[in-house]
Amino acid sequence: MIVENKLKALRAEKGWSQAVLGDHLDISRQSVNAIETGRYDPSLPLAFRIARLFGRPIEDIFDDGE
Amino acid sequence: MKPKLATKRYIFAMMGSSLGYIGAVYGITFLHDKFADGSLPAIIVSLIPVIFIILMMWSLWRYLNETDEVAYHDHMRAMMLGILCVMVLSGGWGLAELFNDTLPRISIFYVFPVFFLIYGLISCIKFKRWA
Repeated sequence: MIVENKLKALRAEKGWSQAVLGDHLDISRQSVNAIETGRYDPSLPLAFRIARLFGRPIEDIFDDGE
Repeated sequence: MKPKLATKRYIFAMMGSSLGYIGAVYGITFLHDKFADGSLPAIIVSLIPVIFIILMMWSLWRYLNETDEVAYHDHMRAMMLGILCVMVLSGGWGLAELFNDTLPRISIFYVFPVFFLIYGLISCIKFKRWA
């Protein structure tokens, strides 16, 4: 299953670099890059942290195409 | 814990234990020429590098518990690939040794560095963990 996400666009809206977003989420810049490029799908706890950080529901950020 | 701090702690602990391991291996190699008499003290001395191997394993274990989930995932996959490669290599070579007396006998000692070599290369190349 391919899960797409809007993390890069949301980060751009805030004007944050990958490193800054990583600091907010307590993950590394490389990890932010892995999630943005779809190489890694975050766990539920991390997905919730991302959703809370951007003030949106998880479904707005992650789309499994169904 | 912040991943950067976890990485820093890991590198510091791993470098320290690696240097200790190299020093201990050189030390027992030097002693081997003089005291390799098969006595219990000689065997105990020959196991000194194991202390540093345990320290390396501990620093790796601590890092996996402290880093973020993406790095954890990548490292686990790289380790699995490393283990699979080592099992195929050691199993294949061992079977070949059974049927061919001319093949050189390779010590089980080499499993440790070969695993870390493969694990390190996969981490760097496949998951670009240096970036």
